[in-house]
Amino acid sequence: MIEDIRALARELLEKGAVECVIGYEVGPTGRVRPAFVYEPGEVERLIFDGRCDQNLVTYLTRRNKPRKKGEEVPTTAVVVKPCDARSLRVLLNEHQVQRDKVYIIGVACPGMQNADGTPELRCTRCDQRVPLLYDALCGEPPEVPTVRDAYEDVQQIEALPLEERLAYWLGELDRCIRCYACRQACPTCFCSVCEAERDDSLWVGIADRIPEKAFFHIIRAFHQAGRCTECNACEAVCPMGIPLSLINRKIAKDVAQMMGGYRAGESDEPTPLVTMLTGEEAIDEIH
Amino acid sequence: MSEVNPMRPYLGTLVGTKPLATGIRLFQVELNDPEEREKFSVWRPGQFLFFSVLGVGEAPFGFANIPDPQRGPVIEVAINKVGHVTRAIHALPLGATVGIRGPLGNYFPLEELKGQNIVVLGGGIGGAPLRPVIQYILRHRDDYGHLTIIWAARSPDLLVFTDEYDEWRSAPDTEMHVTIDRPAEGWTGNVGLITEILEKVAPSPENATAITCGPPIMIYFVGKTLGKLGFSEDQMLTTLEARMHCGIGKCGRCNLGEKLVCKDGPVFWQSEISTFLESFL
Amino acid sequence: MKFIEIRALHEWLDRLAQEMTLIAPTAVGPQEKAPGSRNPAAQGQQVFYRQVEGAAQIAWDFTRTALSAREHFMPKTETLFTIETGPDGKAVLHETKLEQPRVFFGIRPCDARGLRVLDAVMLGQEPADVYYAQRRENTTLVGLACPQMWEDCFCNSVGGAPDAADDVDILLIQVEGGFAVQVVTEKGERLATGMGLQEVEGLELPQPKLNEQFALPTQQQWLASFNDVYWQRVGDRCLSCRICSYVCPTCRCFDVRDETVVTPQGERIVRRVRAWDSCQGVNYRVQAGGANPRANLEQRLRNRFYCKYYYVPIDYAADGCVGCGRCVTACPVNIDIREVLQDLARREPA
Repeated sequence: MIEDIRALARELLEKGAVECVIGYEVGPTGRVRPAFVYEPGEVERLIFDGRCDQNLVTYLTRRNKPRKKGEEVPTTAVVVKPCDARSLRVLLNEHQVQRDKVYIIGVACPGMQNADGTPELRCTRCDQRVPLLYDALCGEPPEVPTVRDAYEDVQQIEALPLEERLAYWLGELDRCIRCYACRQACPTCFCSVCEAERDDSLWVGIADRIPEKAFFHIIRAFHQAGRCTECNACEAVCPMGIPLSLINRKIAKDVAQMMGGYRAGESDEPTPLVTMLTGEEAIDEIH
Repeated sequence: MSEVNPMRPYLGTLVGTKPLATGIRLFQVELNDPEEREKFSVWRPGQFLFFSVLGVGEAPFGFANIPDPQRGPVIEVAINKVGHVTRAIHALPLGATVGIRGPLGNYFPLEELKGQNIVVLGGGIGGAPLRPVIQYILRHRDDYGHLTIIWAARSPDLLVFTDEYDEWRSAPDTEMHVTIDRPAEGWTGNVGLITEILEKVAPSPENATAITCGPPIMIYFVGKTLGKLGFSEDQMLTTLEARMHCGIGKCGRCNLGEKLVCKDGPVFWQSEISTFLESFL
Repeated sequence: MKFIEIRALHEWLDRLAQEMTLIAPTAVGPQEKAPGSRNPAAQGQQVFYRQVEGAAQIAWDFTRTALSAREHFMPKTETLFTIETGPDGKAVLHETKLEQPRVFFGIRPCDARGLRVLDAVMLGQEPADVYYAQRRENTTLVGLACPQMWEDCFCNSVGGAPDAADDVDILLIQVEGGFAVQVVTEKGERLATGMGLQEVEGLELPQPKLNEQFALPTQQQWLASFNDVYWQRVGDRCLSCRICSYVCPTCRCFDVRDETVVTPQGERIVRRVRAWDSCQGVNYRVQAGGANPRANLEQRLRNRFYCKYYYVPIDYAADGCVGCGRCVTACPVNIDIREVLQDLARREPA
């Protein structure tokens, strides 16, 4: 599969169809990381395997703006797994990314692995092996058993008595340092000024105290309602190891229950929870 | 520790305020404690202070006046209503308690410029930190040569200190030119960018220093024009602004490359600015 | 060489915790996590420097803590003063009071060296920051040498060492049956009187295993690289989060705001707070009018590296980075300061 990706990347760069290919590479210390390839001669850097769990779609909103006023938006190719494709679908629905400025290199996903070689939990709940949208598909889709996400992790927390649930979250959020890595890594968190960072502290002050931290995470979760594709990027980057996905998955579960099984990023329809007025299609901020 | 805590403001009272231009007002503050007033009264043209609305926040502003021996050390600042602190300042009633920290930063080396001709170039609210320069030179009029004041704004309603122009104009050996960027109804004076009128007035670089304050883009182009007129970068002074939270080189906020606007500035020679690692634009 | 047995050390720490605030490395968070996770923070309990009630709570077997020692000298949030209304209706400011004496036990040599950098910024130039000064004065540092350099550590490339005693008051080095004790300062001397130290002849100190040393870029190389496209390329994958700044022992940027809070008891508190901030945040330089001189991500990322290795040395005569390696381990997109330093150092000097 990697030879297909490299060949495609080389071709796209050689004929100038894209400015850059975003994929994965192995850094000098052996860690897998996002790679931005601008030269056809550098496509050998690209790799793809079970370690490539980052959601590269998060880089697209940033690249979908002109560098300087009046300049044209460059076209970017991006390696997209089935889960990542759902994030991209949300961004396309919300007009954050122009479809003709993205070349989607879809990959047939083998499922991602933990550092110890075991399958990532989120992948054991997923039966999508081919992205919902792509311009080219690389790799042969492996056979996977049909699985259904029963939200067992969420149910476990839901089953706790209220006091225990509160104590659990206060304990977890106490460690939050407000680094905003969860928000920055999230493909669908793209407000130009976050409510948590307004100069006037209208919603949240600057303090690193539990009320402020809880409020930030709750605001973020509600703004992700019906939009979060459960890609786990927030949790994967958290330097304090807070199980942030649980918050978003709780809402995703409720949305699915209430909205007839709605799952974000699976259709062209924007989420039923976001109201868009005419002329507001290109949202700058989610409220 | 209260005597030496640089993050603690002195308490003062808002004793006067008047409109200067659209969205811009002058605020006059007197410190409450006589000892603190004494300690504070030594600020120099170019320095800045932090103005607090207690419970809302604080923000940095250049002094808009020099200490006045007759009126006592009343502090004046010109404040444009643009952010949440400035909105709160504009809403203050007379007699309100405010906080003042300072004086901070370096200042225009006016002592060193004695005997020279001075060109003062102010754009919009950028004129405010230059008013103490003008006041200082007029107070020590015999120490300086010819004074040229070039004052600019986008439109007539954005010109600051208009009621003082007559006094400045009529000072000995002083000329003043006022311009607005675009024609406006009822405006009969100069129209054109500050650089255009500067080229027309063409002050001589001979034994002269130009002092500029305005938006960064204006500082940049005025510098170019002064260069064309023969001014070297060591004859151009300017003052920069930046977001900051301490004013004493700790919060890390205001750096341009290795220079800190709060501590190494806010006053810089153009020759320093042009070698900044990081652009001030 | 002075020596203390493990049991005597524990007893001394238990006594200390009764008498004053004892800060020490301690494991935090739920034990059941995901040991196989790609996110090192999610693998198990993390160790933090926190106040402890005795030796039993101390984590002895740790590499480096999740956050540096900085949070105990420049807290993530602190109240500078409260704003109250006096009897005459006028505002009165009440400054935060002096803190009690503290012993900071188990600080790693790199974290202690980080305080040297913060000292240079917060105390080295007049006027000093009084809040930081109080905490420094009231705290005695008892260092715990690293038996080896850990993954991602590079203290030996920036002038430090895993067993350096330069920046602590007392240094403990683990040996058979206990710890070798170096009393470094007078402050340490005063504290050590209560430790019950033994004098042991011919105690052999272990040699910590070092990581490979590398050369740093010269000032000329930094200068010549400022406008290089290199920063755009590293910035490409940067997420513009603040992990690197917040885990760093020497980052010190702060924000100051006033806030009004109403307690559950209905008390209204107005205060000026100071909290950590980071030059990586998009709003960091935004001025009230909306102008942002550092609007591009690569400008912000570049600022962090230059701050450590170019600005702080010039502005405060201190080395800005202690090589603790936290930012390397914690960066979710593998922006590795060691890689950046070596990339720049390989360049031809201009």
